[in-house]
Amino acid sequence: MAVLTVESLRKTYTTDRGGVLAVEDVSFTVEDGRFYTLLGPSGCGKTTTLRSIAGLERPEGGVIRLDGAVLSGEGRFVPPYERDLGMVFQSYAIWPHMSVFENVAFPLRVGKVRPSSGEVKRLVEEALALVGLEGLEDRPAPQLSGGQQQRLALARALVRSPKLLLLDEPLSNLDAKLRERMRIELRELQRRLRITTVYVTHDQGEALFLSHRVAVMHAGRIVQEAAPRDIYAQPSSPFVADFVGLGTFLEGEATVGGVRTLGSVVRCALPPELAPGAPALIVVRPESVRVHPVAPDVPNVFAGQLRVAAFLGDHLDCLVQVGGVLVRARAHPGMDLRREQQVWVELPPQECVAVRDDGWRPRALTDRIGDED
Amino acid sequence: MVVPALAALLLILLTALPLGMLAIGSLQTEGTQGLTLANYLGVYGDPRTYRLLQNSFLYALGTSAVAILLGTSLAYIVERTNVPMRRAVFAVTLVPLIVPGIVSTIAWIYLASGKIGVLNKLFMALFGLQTPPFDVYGMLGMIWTEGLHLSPLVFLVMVGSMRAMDPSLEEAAVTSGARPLRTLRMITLPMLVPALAASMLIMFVRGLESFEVPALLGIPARIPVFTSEIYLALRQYPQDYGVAGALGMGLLLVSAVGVWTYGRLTRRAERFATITGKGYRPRRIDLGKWRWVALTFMVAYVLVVVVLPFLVLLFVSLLPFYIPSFDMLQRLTLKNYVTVLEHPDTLLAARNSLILAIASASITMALTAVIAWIVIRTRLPGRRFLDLLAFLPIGIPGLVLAVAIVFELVNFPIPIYGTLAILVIAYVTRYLPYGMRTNSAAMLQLHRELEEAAAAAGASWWITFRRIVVPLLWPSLVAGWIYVFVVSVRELSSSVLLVSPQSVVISFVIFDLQVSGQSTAVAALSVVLVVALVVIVGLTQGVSRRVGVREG
Amino acid sequence: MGKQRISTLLGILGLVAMACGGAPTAASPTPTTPAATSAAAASVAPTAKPGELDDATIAKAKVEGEIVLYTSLSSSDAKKVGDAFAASAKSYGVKITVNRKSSESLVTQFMTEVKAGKVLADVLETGGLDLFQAIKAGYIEPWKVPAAADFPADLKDANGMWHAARLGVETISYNTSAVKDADAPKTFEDATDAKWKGKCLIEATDIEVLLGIGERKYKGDSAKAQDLVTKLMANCTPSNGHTETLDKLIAGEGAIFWGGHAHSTEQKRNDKAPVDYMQAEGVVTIDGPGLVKGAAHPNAARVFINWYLSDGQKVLADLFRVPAKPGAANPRLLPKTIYYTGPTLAEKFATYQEIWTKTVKK
Repeated sequence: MAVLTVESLRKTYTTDRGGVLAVEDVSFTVEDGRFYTLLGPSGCGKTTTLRSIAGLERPEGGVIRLDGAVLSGEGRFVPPYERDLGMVFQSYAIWPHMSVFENVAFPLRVGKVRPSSGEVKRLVEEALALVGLEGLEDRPAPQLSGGQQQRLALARALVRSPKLLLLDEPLSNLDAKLRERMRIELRELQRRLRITTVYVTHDQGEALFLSHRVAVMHAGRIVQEAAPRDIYAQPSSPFVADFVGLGTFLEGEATVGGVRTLGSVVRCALPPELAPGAPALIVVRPESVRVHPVAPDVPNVFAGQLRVAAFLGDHLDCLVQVGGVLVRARAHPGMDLRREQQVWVELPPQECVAVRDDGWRPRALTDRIGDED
Repeated sequence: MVVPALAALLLILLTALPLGMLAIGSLQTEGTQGLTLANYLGVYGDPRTYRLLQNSFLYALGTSAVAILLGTSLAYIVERTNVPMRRAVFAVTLVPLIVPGIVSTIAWIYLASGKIGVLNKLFMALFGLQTPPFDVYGMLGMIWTEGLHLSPLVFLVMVGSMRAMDPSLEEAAVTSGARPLRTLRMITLPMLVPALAASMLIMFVRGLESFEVPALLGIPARIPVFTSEIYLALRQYPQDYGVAGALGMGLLLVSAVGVWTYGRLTRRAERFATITGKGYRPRRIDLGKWRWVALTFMVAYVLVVVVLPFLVLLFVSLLPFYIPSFDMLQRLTLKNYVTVLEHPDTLLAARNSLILAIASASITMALTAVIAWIVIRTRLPGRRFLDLLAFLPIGIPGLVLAVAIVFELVNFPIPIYGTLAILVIAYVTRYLPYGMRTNSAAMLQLHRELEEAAAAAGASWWITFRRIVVPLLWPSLVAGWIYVFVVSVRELSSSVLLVSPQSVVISFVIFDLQVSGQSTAVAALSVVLVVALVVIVGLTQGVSRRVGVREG
Repeated sequence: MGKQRISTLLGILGLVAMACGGAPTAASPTPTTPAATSAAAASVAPTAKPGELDDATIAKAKVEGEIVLYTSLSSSDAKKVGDAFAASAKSYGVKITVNRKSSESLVTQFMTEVKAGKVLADVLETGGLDLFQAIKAGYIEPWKVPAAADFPADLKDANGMWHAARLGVETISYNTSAVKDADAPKTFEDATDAKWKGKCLIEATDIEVLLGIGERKYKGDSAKAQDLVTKLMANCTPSNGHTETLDKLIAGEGAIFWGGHAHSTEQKRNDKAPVDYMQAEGVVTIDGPGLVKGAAHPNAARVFINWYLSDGQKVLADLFRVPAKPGAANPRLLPKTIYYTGPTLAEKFATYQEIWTKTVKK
């Protein structure tokens, strides 16, 4: 059993400009064998939280417990080398002066309990096999490719079968194809080993794909925590909605049956906290927006002009100007659409999500993708 | 590849003649024509030479050990941990570098001489001892004084290296279960081998060719070293370049062996590539309650190495002559500072020294950065030879270098003889070895793929060098620059021959004051230098922090 | 690039020349050449007044208009001398450039320049032993200085190769807090007395003092000199540098300093430091000017040298130095018994060096 609980974690940094609150009142629980992701833009505090769990940072407040035993807090602090965990760093932190074998064997050789050298050999080979690096034991570590180094880091983290696995944006340095593949392998590995895992990333695709639960962080706090599907479909705030997936935001006012916007009313379900008259936003994902060359007879249809129709292989990425808003949509690649053509966009009510407008806005559309460091 | 080619050419031009002169001079003797091995036979056939060598080796090893131990520990604490007040310490640590050797050694005599040392008197009074606990004269005193004097150099080299080290390498170790000391031993230190080896090499050769400390502290204890012989040979009538040459060539041989060893140690460059460009932010290790221990160590270091001798200097600078007695407090005077100001050359020398320091430091670091790149990145045949050539000047006595330059340039069509330009040439040649070692160690930390990425993106060699290599090497470049800047103000043995009335420098003024018996004025000038240094280095630190990899 | 290579080659060749240069070569530097004789004759030609230069020389000097002086005086002293010369009527408007270095460096620089083919100095003013190297190499021109006509024979060369301008007096300095005047050493040998064991300081390369004692006091008895050094080394602690050793003496590191310089000790004594020095006997080293052969401004050089050995002597006295001109020095600074060293003893230096270093090296 390895249950991680974090309660009211608080950590401040002092920079040249004075104190910066990196993590403020963060609490969550990771159940045994579950994959938990901290998702957010850079500076949101996710890495600090992870490092606090590892013991590389000393929080000022809060308690971190693993299986009930206090790791930090309540006047105690267990140093990182006494915590039963394995960690994968963003830069992999492979030791260049050692071979693959030595890198993986290191945790076994430095701990309190040291297995015999025969046992070490066995465990290392197992770990390497887990990640698909068998046969490379004697190679000097720097000679591995990027993807191989990442696996090496993973093998090293897992070799002593720790209770907790921590990963700090491990895939961000890989190219797109490799990242896809590693994502799949990582997920499969974790599900098989059932090791309690905390993962940090700014990539929402990874978060949704890998996790049992996702916590979206913003400015040092967790703003929403739920299963991937729920985070995606039922964002609780504009920030979450924007961060976890692309979407179009429609500003308006809650009313009975929907939200008043685009000169009309978009019909959709309203969350309980959204009273009529309150400022609201409709969030609708591009893949849910349907583009029609002629006006269909369905609810939530709006006329507009097609500004952009970019061919992306498996779909057409469209931007339709409806009133003063650019609505993002995906169309079938085979559709015959021309720029400046008049089209009708349909926002199916069941696909529209209404959130309370707290004033937060994303940056401009064009730089929303990849806006993190 | 124009720039590397030019750099290599410049290197050869600078070093070939002095080395040639030394070599040829060693093969000649008074009164005989042609070349002969008589000097070598005379020097190396004399059993006394081996006693000297033994003393020198012992001395060099001792000072290296002290300097490396102190310098590395301090560098680690200041650079990698969260000890408070570390930024203040940085500039202060460099103070021993600028104090001329003769001045700091005399300060230690006044502190720890058996008969007149203040510390001895203090300890004897406090603890009721009968015999003085410290004796600065003798091998231990020599090692202590020179080791302290050299530790800032190690500090600078190691700081440059550590600043460029991805801390997640150590974090990976502690999260794998390794305690801090084990992490230091198995991860940190092996990664720092290039910098450590570079430091050891420089320290060792410096120890061998050190002159002032063995002269002031060894002669009274009758511990002669190699350099005493060289000095004696050059003080004879007529000066015996033959013997000096034969001894000097011995030093060069040791240097060459050192460089070769260094090359072998650091052969597999990728083992030390700690800057891999996979996005890291330098972070500091939290020492927890050990912070206070580290702070104590830091403060103790500063007190003993910097403050104590400085206080002695300050005191002496305010006296007409020095007697270790409280009565002297009644004789305090500012006359020495007046003497310094009234010296005909002081202001001109200050200006010249500043210009020279900036020029030498910049040219040296720039040139050696390019040469280091050639040695480490390319597979050109003969690059090891360039490496050697850049290091050998450390073994050339300053006087020999100066004579070579006079020869070469007194007839030069462009009238640079007697100007600052020839001093720049001399200084750059002298400091090539230091720049070379720091840059070489730093370049090893840089993974080649960082440059390859730039090349793949279409950048020319020069652009890659300027925009990729230099910014990433910045900490080491700055460290080396600071070192050359500071010690060039102190450079004496070449300057003493090459200055002219318009190109006097501070070290020359100091030397002039010292030999004319104005040692207290020398103390005053040293005090001024120290203050100036702390201010300048403080400013440089501010600048260097804005460039390069930012701290997280 | 071609020029570099040529000059490099010249440099290497110069090395060879340099090594050979020290040996007695066929081209002997003694004043037997016609040019030297006529120069000597010229200076003996009817002059305006005794001790003064003839008008022809002065006229030529005015045309030359400047002189480059290489001197081993300290910077401030050199500047004061230069300024005094420029201000004097006897400079006849000649401008002076002073290049000052320590004695060894000065001669090294000078000789290297000359070997490379460039004569940049007009006057070389330095210690006698160093000047002798330049004389031996044939770089100095003999000329009898009118102002030195009445100098005693010890203080000048009969042929005019060198003249004493300033003297270095080396005796035994002592710390007056530790030593009463009555107990202070009265001879050089006193320092070998057992009562000074461990309290005596000696400068590690003070061979010239031994040279003076050995040749003048012991009349060349090297065995006696050897004996002296052996006893001294057993009694005294070697130390590096005259300034440093004097400082140590004052601070109390020793009670006496064998070979201490009288004039620096006198300066400290003036500052009320507890030091004094033996006056019964002393070795006196000779420093002075040499006229450079092939100088660019030979007549201006003569003007300077003549001034230096006449009015210039007072300037030296004001600088607490020991001018050579009879009667110009502070009498306290001149020992009762004097053992002169200088260019005449230069060739004996090697003997005493061997004696000294052999003993020290044990």
